[in-house]
Amino acid sequence: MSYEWIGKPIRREDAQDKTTGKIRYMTDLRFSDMVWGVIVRAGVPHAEILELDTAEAEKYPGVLAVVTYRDVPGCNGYGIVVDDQPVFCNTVVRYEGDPIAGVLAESRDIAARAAEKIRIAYRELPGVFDPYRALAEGAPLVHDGGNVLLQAHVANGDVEAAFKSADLIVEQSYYSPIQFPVYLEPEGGVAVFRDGHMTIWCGSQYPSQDQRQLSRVLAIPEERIRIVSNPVGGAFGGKDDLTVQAQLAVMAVKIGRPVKLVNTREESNTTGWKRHAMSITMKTAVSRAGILLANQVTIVADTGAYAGLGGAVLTNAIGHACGAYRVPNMDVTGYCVYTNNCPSSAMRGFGVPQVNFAMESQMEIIAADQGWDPLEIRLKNSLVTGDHGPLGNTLTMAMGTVPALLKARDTKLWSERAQIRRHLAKPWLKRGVGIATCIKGVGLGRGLPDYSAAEIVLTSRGTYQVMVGCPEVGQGNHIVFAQIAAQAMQCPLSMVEVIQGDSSCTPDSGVAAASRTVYAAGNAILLAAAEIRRQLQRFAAKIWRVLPDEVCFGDHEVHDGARKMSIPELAQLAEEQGSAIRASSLFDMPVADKGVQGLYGIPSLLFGSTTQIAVVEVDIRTGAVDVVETVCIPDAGKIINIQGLEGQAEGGTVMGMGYAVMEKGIIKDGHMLTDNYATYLIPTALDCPDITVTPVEELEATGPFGAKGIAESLSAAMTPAVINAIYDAVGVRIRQLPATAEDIYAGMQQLFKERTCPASVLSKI
Amino acid sequence: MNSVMVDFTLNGEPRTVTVKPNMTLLEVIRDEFALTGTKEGCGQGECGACTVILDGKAVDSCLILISQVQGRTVTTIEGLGKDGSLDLLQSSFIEAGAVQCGYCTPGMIMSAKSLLLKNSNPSVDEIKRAISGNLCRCTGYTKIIKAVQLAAMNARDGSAGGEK
Repeated sequence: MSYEWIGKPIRREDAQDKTTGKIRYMTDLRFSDMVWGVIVRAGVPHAEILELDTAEAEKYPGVLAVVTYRDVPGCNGYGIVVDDQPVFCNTVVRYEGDPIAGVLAESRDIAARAAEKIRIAYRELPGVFDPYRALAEGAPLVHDGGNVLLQAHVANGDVEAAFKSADLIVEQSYYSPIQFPVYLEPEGGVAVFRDGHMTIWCGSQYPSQDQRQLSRVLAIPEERIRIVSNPVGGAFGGKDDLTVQAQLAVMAVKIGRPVKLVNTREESNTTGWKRHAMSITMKTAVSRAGILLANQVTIVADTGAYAGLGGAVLTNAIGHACGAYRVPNMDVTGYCVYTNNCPSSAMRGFGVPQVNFAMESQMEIIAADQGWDPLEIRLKNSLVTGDHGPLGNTLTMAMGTVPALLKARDTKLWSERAQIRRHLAKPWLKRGVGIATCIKGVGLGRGLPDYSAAEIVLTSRGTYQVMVGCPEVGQGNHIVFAQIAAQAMQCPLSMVEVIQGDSSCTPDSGVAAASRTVYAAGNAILLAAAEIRRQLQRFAAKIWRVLPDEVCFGDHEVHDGARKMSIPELAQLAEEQGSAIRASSLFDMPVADKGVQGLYGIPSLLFGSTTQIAVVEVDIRTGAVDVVETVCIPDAGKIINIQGLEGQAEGGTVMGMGYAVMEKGIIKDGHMLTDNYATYLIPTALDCPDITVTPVEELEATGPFGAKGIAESLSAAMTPAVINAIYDAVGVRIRQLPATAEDIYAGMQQLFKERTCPASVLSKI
Repeated sequence: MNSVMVDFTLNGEPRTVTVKPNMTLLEVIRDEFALTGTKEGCGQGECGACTVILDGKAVDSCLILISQVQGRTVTTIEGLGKDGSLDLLQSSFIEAGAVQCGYCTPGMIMSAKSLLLKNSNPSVDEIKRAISGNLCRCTGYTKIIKAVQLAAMNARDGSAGGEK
């Protein structure tokens, strides 16, 4: 079907103001009479607070006030699921980034200097920095209730019987470190408290959720809290739960003047939400015919000092532990464990990149062991519509893995991989080609409230205002929402104005996360648009004295065969007669037919998927790896905006590549060592490969114009594709991310020894 | 702390500021002149979000103390484009889809501008090098590189900038 607006590479409306610097992010805002806030952080990973002396800081010239836990008007705890995170610590510090106090001063510089004058006397407590140690008996307790945030066991079928009948069983362990989201805009913004009303301008992925959380902290009703979060300078999951809003709000209550607070990058890296480090063991059984029989998985996730969305991340990892495959027998045990490390929570993929790295490595090991083509074994086992997922639910929606693999098979990188391998730019540079695939659920999954509201208003000028709560965090959903609305209303794109991320005027459209906004908010917009059309029909029918059914729609007009009226004319009339044309909608995400008792968020029903081929070049003298080229084959269903999809695919690819070869958050004894970008490395333009994006479009009947959602899987296939390419190049299987030159070199040395030394000698090395 | 008086040219206008000597060029640009197009991403010259052009060369304004710009010429993102039209780099970033969250965009454009001032026909490798001090987490750099190529091509073809 051809559309006027859907599927077109429409340029983003915000791009111009972003290229001129005119656009104001929340951290760019400035108010007259504004003061600066700085948070004093613990600096020790686990301690009892004996004494907190703020007197000297309060006397510091230019300081207006110091706030502590005593100034929190309501509940001194927050967290979307468990409110275990103090706004300001009272008695106990659980990680080095814990907020102890806030200093308010006439300038940021003064506040920062005064912050150093705050004296905190601690009794340091033994810390626990490793989730396995945290699980051991007698381990120091991070929270009184114990160190296990969530322990879960999910089984389907009979793995033991399947292992007995299997022709090959592969069992391996994998480790993926903490990954940072690296949004370029640090956490921060401005809060104003006036006449009992709080307004906070601060980057967030879910303003309505922030309202609910801050209502408890401030002990004021939600409707007196306004959250503005648009635009946001990147989020990637890290701005899903609260960042600094609670501290900012408490400071604003205290001082009664606008307060601005922006984390330094060191604070951001030390305290911001991260991707969970996970240790995964996977035992995978396969038949001689190459059919997957069973997967037994253990996952241990380090959630750090506070819950965040750690339980949901573990649950989602469990739900996706068999990757994109049909696995009739599965048994997964997971632990999400508190430690005295920086907290981890949501980050692009929500537990999937970790398990997918493991599963896609298993597939490759199986293929290599049996001499099978790695693409064909994936093709043979990939889930298709109508299959039962590993948790036993029926997959009713369009699945994109098989068409993407078929497309991958025809790419030059795959069909000519033998030649690519033989290509030697230099004798010491060895090339390899790797493939991997990934599915990631769109939406929050079964058992969690997952809905999206939208509102459309016809203005007196004949334009449509489309209100959606989900903020624009960079992903480009504002242009997609405009395209969906313009298509539904058959109007020029210029007649649509999208308003997002302001709780005073936008409805609760759910979180801008989980790859969900195009599908969920897109469907909500369609529902509201249908209602607007009914209202327009009724209104025109009344004027023309015909039945509503006789009123038809043309391009930004209505007609009944004999007469026609443009929408602006109609809007004018409606205005004159005092008939508001406005509609609200609520879309509920469809869920799987079968859930898991006691676990929330699995299974997923709708999936975005990505298949990726990567070419690497390994310097056999050093082990250094260069990712040379890649093809990314996403399936987002109907593509609403190809330029936006390509952009996200390219960004996701490079993020997945960073995870594969360079990114590693290092916390030593509770102290973040990688506290800026000199130590936490992400790919630069010099590191990024040549990227080709060639999507498949498996239309989903329940999606807006057939669209699904895509953001997260886009980075999760690249990581194992690179790791598999390294294996293809030099025969080294990396099971611990990132694949550093040192690890690859050590692997090559080991292989060399194994090939050249007799076993008796090798055992002594 | 005493103040220092510094004269410099900012986006073509002579300016004088009297500020504390520990203020960085970035702080002066954002706080004294309210030019918030220049961003702070890391505060230590790693991310490039604060890139401005100082006497024709791209620099991290968070690493420049204000006294260092005495008598010199500073151009920020707000100083690009003339008479209401966009600079070719700005229009090519829009056209190529090189903008996502946009937080790195001004710094990225300033690094690219500094390159194009010296080199009207850069290779892909030269472009990558020129922007290698600017981190971007959204785009994977691909469309940014294309945008710089496009701007260079349009400049060579002598086409005008887009309407503002």
